[in-house]
Amino acid sequence: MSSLQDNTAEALAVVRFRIADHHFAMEARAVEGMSREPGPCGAPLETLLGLPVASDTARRWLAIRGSQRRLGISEPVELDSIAASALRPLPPLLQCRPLLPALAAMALEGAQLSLLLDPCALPDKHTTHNNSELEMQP
Amino acid sequence: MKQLLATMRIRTRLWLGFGLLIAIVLIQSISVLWNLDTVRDRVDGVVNHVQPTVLDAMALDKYLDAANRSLGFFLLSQEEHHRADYLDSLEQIDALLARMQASSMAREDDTVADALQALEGSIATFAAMQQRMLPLAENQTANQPGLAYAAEHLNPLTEQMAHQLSQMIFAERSERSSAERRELLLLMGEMRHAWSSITTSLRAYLAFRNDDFIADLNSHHTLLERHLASMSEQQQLLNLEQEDALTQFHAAYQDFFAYLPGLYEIHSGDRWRTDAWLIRTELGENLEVIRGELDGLLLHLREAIDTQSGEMLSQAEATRMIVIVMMLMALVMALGQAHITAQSLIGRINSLIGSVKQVAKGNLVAEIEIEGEDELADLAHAATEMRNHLNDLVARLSHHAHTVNGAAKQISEAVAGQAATSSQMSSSVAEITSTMEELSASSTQIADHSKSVVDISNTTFENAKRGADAMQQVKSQMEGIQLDNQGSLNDILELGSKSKEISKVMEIINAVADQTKLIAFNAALEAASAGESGKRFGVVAAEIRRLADSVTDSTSEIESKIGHIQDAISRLVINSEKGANGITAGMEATDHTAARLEDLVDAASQTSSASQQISLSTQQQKTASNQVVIALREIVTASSNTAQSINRISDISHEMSELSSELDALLHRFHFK
Repeated sequence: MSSLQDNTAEALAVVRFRIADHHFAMEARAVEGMSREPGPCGAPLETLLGLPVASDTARRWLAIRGSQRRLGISEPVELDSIAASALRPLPPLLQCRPLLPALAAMALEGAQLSLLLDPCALPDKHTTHNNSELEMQP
Repeated sequence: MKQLLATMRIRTRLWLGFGLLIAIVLIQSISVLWNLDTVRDRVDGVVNHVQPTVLDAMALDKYLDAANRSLGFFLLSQEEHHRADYLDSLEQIDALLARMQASSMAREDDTVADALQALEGSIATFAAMQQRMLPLAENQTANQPGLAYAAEHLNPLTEQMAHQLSQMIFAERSERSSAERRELLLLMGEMRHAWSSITTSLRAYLAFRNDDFIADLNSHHTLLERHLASMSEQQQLLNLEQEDALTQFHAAYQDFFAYLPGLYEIHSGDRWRTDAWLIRTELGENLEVIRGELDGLLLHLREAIDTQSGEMLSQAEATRMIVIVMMLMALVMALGQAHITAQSLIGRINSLIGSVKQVAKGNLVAEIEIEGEDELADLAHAATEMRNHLNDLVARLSHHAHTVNGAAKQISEAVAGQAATSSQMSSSVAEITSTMEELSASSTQIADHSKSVVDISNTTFENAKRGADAMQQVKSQMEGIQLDNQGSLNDILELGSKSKEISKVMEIINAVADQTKLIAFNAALEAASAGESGKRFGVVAAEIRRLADSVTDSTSEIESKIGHIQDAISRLVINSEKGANGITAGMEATDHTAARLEDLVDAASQTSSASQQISLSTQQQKTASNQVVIALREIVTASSNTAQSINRISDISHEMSELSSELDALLHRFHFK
């Protein structure tokens, strides 16, 4: 995994975090900042993605640029970069039948698969998306 | 800088940092409010001065259209409500013009005032047209010159020719009917029909201005010419009245068609309707002038709005730059203050931890040195006081342990001697008893030995009293040990509370480090968003976050060490409590021994009294030998009890000696002055 100092023009700055043993990332330019308070419009990201909410870890709140929304995610949260060569578009099957709302792309770094989310495409309220298939994956 | 920070309290440093941030935010807020006031004034100028004039100008243009439209409808239909609409629109135009002239824009802007003055003249011309237009709608003859020409030249001829034709037909009634006369009457009917068609075509032309009606009129004219030719061929059949009427008809007919070209010229020209001509020329030009003046006024007002908008945009951009610069200043100051505070605290805390570790290892001589006058300095001073107090306490404890050890040894020796004496006394009493039993008959020997018995009993009594005094000394020493042990326990508990205060300080440092990590993350995020220009700043932010992680790891290690110290303190408390329980047991045993020694003193006193009584009652021994033997047996029993008690005292004194040795060994773990 490359560090932030190794950022080049061929790398994408991202905010990394994990939900239920899955690696996720958001573009850093879409994130305005991070705080310890949820604010009036805060909601756990797992709720918006239809995943079980982790309650036993410290939670950070990401402020999304251009929006009043704050997304709650569990520690650890890291500012990192992904090489452009590791980015992969969604396969046609996933584009036709997305497992997660706001899933924009994937990144394959060695044996690790990271899911890239578009925070602007997240639903406003609790989603009824059935992610049982995602929960069954290791 | 570090020395200056060390002289400040940690709370003062934190409040100073927050005060600087609040001051920056306050300056930023005042600048933004000042700019917002300026923007509000400009918006007020646009909304309350320029915009009403623009709306009035647009409304004026709308009412001009409405007036023009209503006038056109009224001229076409002559309906009264169109006339009312036209006049109402003129009133609205006058009212709007008056309001615009009274507005602040007209007073403050010379260009607007000049435009409104020009507009007032043009609108006055527009309104004056009503004096010429409205009468035209009520008088079509005056409005259409063709109708006036026809009324003057053609209509009298038309009536005359119709009358001549009727007269010719009416004159046929006096003639006798015949086939020729019927043909002639039919021809006159045809002429009347042709003439009627000519007048109908002329009216249609006047009404609709269509050249097809002129063609119809010419065809009927040709037909009538043919009828007139036929009538001339049959002129011998006409009576005088008919012949005269035909002659007059023919003359009028010639005049009628002589006037027709003039009618065609008037009615087919541009001025066939006066109102339409006025609308196309004077009124249209007047409207063009008014619209041009209105467009000029609106263009000037739009330029004024554009100027105000541009200034407002410049003001907003300046406000944005102020906010960005102030935010960056606040961020840099917050990071710098956090970094300086963390650096100044970590080194001094590590120094303090090293000193406390030395104390925890038992080195009560090591100095605890820390500079400054803040809370850490207070903590170092408190730790130094605690170390000094522990040092004094352990020194005193060691001294008392040595004293107790020596006293215990003396007690053991004394008890050993007492045991020997007691044993000797027991054997002596046994011998006395046997002697008394054997020599009961010999009162003389009893009298001799009774003195020895008195001496021995007196000696026993004195030894027993010394043993009791020694036990009282042991008891007082044990009470001193108990008080010292309780003092040590209190000092250890105070050490535990101080270590908990250190834990609270560690929690504050952890909170500051967590906040620093959050700020460093956001700073790195901003640097990443800034692209290439924020790359170096991102490196600094990442380094700050790494340092905050290092602080968190260090505080975790410190907390672990403090936890070990607290565990050691807990074990020390337990050991001290066990020692206190042992001391309490020792004191109880000492009390019990003292009581037994008191019993021994009493017994010795009784022995002495008895021996004296024996001595004094030597003469009575013979008679009371049996009672003496019984008494001596009781003495033997008491001696046996005394021997057992002394053995127990010996055991207790051994235990005391072992305890004092253990206490001495424990105290050797400490290094003290």
